[in-house]
Amino acid sequence: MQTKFYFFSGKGGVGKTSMAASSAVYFASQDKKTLIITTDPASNLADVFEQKIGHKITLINGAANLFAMELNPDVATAEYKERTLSPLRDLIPVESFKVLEEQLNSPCTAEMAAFDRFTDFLQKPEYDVVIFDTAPTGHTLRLLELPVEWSGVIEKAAKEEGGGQTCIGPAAALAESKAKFDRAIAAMRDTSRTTFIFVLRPEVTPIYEAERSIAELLKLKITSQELIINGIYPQSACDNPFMLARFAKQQKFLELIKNKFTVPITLMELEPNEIKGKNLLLQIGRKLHTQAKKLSNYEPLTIEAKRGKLATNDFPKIDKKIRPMLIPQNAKRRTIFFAGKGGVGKTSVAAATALWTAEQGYKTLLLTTDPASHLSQIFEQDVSGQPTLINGENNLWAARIDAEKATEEYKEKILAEARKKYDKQRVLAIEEELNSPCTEEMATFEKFIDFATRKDFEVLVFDTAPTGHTLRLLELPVDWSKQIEIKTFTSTGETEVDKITKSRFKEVIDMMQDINQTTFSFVMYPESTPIEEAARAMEELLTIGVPTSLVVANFILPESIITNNYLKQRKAMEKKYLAEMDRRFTAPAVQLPLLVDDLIGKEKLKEAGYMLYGK
Amino acid sequence: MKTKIIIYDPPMCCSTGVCGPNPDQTLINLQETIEKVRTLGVDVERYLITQSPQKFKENSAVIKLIQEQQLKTLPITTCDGKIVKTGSYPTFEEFEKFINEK
Repeated sequence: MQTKFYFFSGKGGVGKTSMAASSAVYFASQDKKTLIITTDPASNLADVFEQKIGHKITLINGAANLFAMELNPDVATAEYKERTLSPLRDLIPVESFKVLEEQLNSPCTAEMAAFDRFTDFLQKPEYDVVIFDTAPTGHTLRLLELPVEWSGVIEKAAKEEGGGQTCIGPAAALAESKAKFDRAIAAMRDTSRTTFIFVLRPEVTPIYEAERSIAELLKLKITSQELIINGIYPQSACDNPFMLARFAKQQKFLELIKNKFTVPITLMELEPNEIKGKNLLLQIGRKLHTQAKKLSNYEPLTIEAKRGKLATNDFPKIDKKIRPMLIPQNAKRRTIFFAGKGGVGKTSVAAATALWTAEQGYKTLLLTTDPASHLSQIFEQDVSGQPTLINGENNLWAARIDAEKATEEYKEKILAEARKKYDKQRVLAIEEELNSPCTEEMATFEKFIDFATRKDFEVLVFDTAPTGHTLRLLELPVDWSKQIEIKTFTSTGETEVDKITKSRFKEVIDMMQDINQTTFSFVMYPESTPIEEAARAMEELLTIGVPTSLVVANFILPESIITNNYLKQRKAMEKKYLAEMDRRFTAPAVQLPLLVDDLIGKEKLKEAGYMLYGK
Repeated sequence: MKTKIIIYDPPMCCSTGVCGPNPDQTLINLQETIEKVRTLGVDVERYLITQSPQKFKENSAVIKLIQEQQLKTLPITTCDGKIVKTGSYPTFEEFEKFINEK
């Protein structure tokens, strides 16, 4: 029998790991030798299995055929570096060797290393089932896109259309890797061997994301796809107007999803407790694979729910200390970053904050770097690459960094220069070389630097992409500055252009490190994965000298709606994690309650702004 | 046997010259030169020290030079295994000269 692969994707905190882990336990209980791997640095796989796992294949306690591994990107990168450079270790002088190691700290290496491991795991004949509890959507898709892109690059480079050079080495040396990438793609495209499962909650934004993800995979000719809708409220738990209104909304979304998608869809209820421990996992796994309802056989309910009003004590107290952190100090622009896992409400909080600063009289630009951002939907107007005034406002502009468009512009800029200097043949070769995955990152990064150095706004609010991507983007000024410095150790030397670039990067680095100019904030809801990821990201940002100054706890259950045992259990879990947040983050925290409606439209966003920061 | 020229590149992210914050003119020009040199019927290969360290190891003269002069000696150009230029990339005229003098 050939190995079966399951890929779980979806925004962070939708229960991806629970679904993946319970599937793993279920398959193992069916006498299948099963391996579950997470590539998500914020994974709580160890929590779920209640044992230490780490960066190695580990037997799950008490099981005979269930194994798990938490792929640590830092360790994978270190291993990759060691493997690459070991032939020279004792041959060349220590000083030179250090420069080589430093060079391999370049942004490309981490990606290459992660990718290398990923394709390795796609050929594990010793397992019957391999489950990838993957990193969040954007990153996952990018990783999956890589085999296709690299393979193409290598093929062309081998024919020497690009002078035999590729971003990842001379074509000849890569022939072996190409075979590996091709096998990886073939396995992912084989519907009898691979299933992609997208996990989402019955809410409006994840639907767009699921749609995008399905389309992206189809573009890569990956057709075996399924959806799990997780976190559906049990009807019995909705015995008050607030919960009934939320239940009615979920049912409406189910109807919407039913009409929108043709792939198989499984429905899973929100569990009152955390899913951990093998017994509960097996129970959930059985539910998922044998008992759960399929949306195709389910008629979503139509309920006319009366709108409950929240009580005054449902709103958190306003902390006056927060205000100065949102507005300019010493006549310098204030830059506010909102980061966190996908699905924590970053975009809504960023938009509410931008509306708030605009209303306080500051000329504000709200900028999203998230390719999956729904800024246009929540403002109900088009948001493009250029700052656009928000309808009915006179202080608030919005813009988005569109990676695809930025890449086109970036390529065109380089090619326009090239056309002036070179013949057609050479320009074609350069164009070919520019079709590497690095180009998109470089192009997005250039746009980020452009916006980050703008002087024509008083407040700049960044709605950032899910954490991994954002950290990379923010670290790039530091990383590239170092790469330029490496030139001084070689005969190439720094050019005048390099010096200008470095000074631009330095401006951005200085700005990000200064708490009087920059407020770095993490948005999360009080559950394990979002907290873990934010805490990790906070540590990583500190290594480039960027402190975290604000924490936003979102979707807090209002006290007045806790009317039954199910909700009591949920509230108890929430309290435990709020305490955990308090312990892990020293920055001041603000809270936003769970609301009946999604934050769509300016009025609701303004309300949210008042709940966070006061009038 | 066909003449073989090998260029041993210094550490950098990518030898095409179009990656990274500033496109590198020297490297883009070099690619053009190499294509011209190939039309003379010789093999030209390039190895980046951080991507193909094994290739560096295979040429003891190259390693010896790095031991003596550190990385500043890169790029090194060899013609049929013999070092013909260090510290910078050859011009087209120089390539021609290496091939003819062999």
